[in-house]
Amino acid sequence: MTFSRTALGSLKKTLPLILMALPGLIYLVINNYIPMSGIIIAFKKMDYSKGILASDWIGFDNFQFLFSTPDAWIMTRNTILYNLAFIAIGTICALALALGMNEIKERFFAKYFQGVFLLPNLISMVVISYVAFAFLNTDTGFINRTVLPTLGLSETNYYTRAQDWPIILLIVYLWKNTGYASIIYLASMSGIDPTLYEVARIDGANKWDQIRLITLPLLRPTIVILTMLAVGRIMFSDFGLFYQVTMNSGALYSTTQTIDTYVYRGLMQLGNIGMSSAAGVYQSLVGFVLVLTTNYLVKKISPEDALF
Amino acid sequence: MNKKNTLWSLITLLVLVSMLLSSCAGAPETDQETSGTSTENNSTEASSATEEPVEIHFAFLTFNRISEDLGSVESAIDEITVPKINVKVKLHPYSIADYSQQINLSLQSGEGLDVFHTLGDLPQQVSQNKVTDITDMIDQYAPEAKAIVGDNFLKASTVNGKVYGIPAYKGVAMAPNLVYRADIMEEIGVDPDTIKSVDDLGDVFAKVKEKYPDMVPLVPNMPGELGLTLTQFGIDPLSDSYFLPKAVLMGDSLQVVNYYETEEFKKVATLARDWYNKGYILKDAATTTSAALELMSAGNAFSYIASYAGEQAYVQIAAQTGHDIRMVRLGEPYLNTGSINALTWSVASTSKNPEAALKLINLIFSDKDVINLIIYGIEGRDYVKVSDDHVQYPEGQDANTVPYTAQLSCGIVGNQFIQYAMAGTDMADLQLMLEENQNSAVSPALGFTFDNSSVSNEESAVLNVINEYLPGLNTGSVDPEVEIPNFVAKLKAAGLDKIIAAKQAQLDEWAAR
Amino acid sequence: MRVGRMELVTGRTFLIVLMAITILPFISIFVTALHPSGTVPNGLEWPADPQWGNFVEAFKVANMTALLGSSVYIVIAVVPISLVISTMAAFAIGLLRIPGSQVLLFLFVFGLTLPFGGIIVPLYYLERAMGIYNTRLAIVLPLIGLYMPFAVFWMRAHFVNMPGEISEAARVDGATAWDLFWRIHLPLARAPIASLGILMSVWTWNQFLLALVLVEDPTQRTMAGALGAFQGHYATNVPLLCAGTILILMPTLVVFVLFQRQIITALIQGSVKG
Repeated sequence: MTFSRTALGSLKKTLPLILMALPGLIYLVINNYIPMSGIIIAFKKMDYSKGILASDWIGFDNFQFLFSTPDAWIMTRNTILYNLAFIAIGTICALALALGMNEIKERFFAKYFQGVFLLPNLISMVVISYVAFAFLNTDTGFINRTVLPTLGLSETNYYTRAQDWPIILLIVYLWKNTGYASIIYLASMSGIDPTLYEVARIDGANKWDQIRLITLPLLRPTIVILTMLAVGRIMFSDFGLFYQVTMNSGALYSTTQTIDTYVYRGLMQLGNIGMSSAAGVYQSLVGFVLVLTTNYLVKKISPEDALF
Repeated sequence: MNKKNTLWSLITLLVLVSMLLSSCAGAPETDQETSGTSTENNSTEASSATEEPVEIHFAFLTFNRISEDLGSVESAIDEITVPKINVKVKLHPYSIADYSQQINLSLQSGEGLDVFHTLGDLPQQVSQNKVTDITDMIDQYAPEAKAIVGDNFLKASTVNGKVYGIPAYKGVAMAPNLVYRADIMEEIGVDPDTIKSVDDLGDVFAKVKEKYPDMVPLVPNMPGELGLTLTQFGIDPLSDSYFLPKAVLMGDSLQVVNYYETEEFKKVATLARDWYNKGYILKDAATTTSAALELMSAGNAFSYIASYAGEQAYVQIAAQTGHDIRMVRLGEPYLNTGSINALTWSVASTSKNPEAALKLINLIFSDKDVINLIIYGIEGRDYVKVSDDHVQYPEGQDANTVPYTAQLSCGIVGNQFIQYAMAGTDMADLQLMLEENQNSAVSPALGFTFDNSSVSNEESAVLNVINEYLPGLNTGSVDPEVEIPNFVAKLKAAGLDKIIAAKQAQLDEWAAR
Repeated sequence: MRVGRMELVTGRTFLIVLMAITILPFISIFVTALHPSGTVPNGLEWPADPQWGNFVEAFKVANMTALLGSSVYIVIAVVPISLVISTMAAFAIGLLRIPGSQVLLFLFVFGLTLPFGGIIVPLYYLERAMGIYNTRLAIVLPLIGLYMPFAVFWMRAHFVNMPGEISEAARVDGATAWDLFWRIHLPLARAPIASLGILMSVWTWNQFLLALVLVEDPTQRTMAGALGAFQGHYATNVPLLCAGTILILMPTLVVFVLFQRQIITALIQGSVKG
């Protein structure tokens, strides 16, 4: 799959490659790594008159608020569980959708299906929260006024029932992201040689066998990459989803409070930039460690899929 | 040469370069300032007319569309400020969504900001050193402003004996009001004068419900907030937000208490629950983001509770909602530190020309022309005068179409009482506001500000607990008998007692001085 | 190729149902946009008095003409450059296994877990120092950088999966690295490049945080940032917000419909190997 060292030959041949990589690299360093110096803010007591560098160093003090609260466990648990669910269920749904769309051979349908499924991703969470509210609210909501009475059920105040929200948020997440994720898989699928399928069909394989034995294995690298990238962001949550769609309802905290919403609610009044930076650093660090761990495990199981 | 070496040395070079660049970029003071104030002036002496005018960056909040043409207004302002105080003004209006962030960024970069105002967060600004101590400068550079606002006001912007800004001189004595549909009130046969307090409202709502079963008698004035807290007299939130109080003073006592353990809170929560059960409130009041004004405009809301200064606020509300709106007071104004210093004009701690900045602040309290230029723009183009003190938009234009307007609600820029009023405003009401500023009841802790940096962990935890329970209790959607004990227990677990102790200690120390 | 009837029908029905579910909220948004400004409609009812003027007003209030131009400029500036740089870097790292590529890869991975909030402030400093603050470049340049990690990963994954024989054969014929890249691998990589381009365009179009923070002049931001204009101090003007949302959607839809053929062709062509 790769060149042997001898094929590379002399420096003259390598140089163009290095030059090729250079712009991307320089860009990466300047744009993403230099600003990491901003992480310093997490360890300082910010005094605006002195600026970032001269403010006092206070070590890990800014991190304490994340752990000393009674909610620390709840918010961490929620963040991780939701993300795991999103990764697992989201990937399955996106794959299913991509597989479905891959089968559409007529150009006509393919065009419109793809376009339509991409649209939800373009809508901001604020608008989505209003749509959800229009459906779910007690006084005038579609579900409470039309659906439940038809089914003979009494009205439900969704915004005070914490137990309903994991499902609701999952549905909203899937609605927004499945189409977008499926495009990535679809692109990879279209890179698969159709003759492979022909051969399989001639050998008597049905659709499901084809998917299982050809498509999925060939998609594995893509799936692994995307999953690992998602794992790296496991401590982050979509703020719009957990804060705006829930209408910031306090009664739902036990199942909808994530690290990001906690930080926002706690620091909104304090305006403490050191503490909010600390939260970001904490989330990144855990995510990074998890990526390394997962990569290590993946290497044990199937070495060629590992990221590095 | 070894290929590996080449690559590694390349990488090392890159890393070194980036570290160098980062240290340049990270330092608050760089040599390459392309914008910002001119550095020619010596900031020790008052500038004389022969020196180059100093450029002062003036940031403020606006609810209107941000104008593209700030230059013409700035020139007009410069015509006054350059001869008077040798200052050129650069205006930076920000919308509510951007304001705090932009101020923070400007402060962090150390340039581009000289004058700005707080948004109810003066204690934070002080403890994070965002504002300059002007105690020694105020007599020399802002004597008029000082005289105009008076001692009580300056007390509110004094922390640990140092003055950090000048509170905007506007109607700060806010009383809780019931804002209601006057036509419906008449139909149900209730005389508004008989309504003296919150306790009288239950009957009124019952009558509304009877006559108009589909109308909502009371809607929230903010998400999760019915406004009942506002109707309680004598609460000083001691630097906490009004709507999310934690450790407060009740009445004349100097004892700091947990607001949620008080009888008053229980009373308010129980009243809300009673109204909820009787159907006087929206079932979703705890979460709906529709504000009172929208609901009133739509026509099926009867009233809401909110605090206003003066007695004429209903005029504008009536115009906005298109209905016959009146208001009646449910209590008396009560002044405390937070109500006065909510909008304080300060000099940025990173300003290169604090004296000049302070001089400009002085002008926005004392100079009628400067204030009106900032708020209304240029006469003839952005507004027309209909009398000596009243203005309106030119024929066929409104706030969205004039080239420049920062027409803000109730006097955010400096001195409300010398700015023009929109046509239709009653000047007698301004007079009333002025009087109430001077004569209202005052908290015993006026002048005390709490520095919360020692308990910021507990504060963030407590705020989360409050956000969880308070909307439900405020809007009656949960049972107070059951939930208040839960709430209080969780508050204690989050460290509210530690906050109370810290506040009490600081308060005692302040009182002893 | 014959596909079973049953499979076809179930497949189609399934997709159509999905499409209906996907579109439903859009209908709600559209209907809400037609309600009188400032009211709070309840979801699916068609208003008694459709306010088509809301779209016009949303357009004006949020100053959308300027923002449309601004967004287009930013997308055109960001996407091609990102594609070029990242593909080259990915090629170098992935296909040719230059020494030290592991380290480089490591650097890129780390870049993916960056706390966004942590880098905003230094970016601000950097931009002020460079003098590009409050210009469109302030958004363009950081975005290119932010896409680097994902883009490099994406393209590298593709290059790494290319059969080695292709490159071997070319080498034997005397191709240089540059030839290899330009003449052989680039055309083969059309599919992933196309989809990457689509992704980046969508991300850029929706980017509003950077725009909000790094650009003071509201007319230089992206269209997504315009939505903030509808959120007032205490409440949000829901019908206008919905109208604004639909307006923001329109350009994306138009582009997609116009360039559908090219995009699909590109995606499909990638599957044919010469």
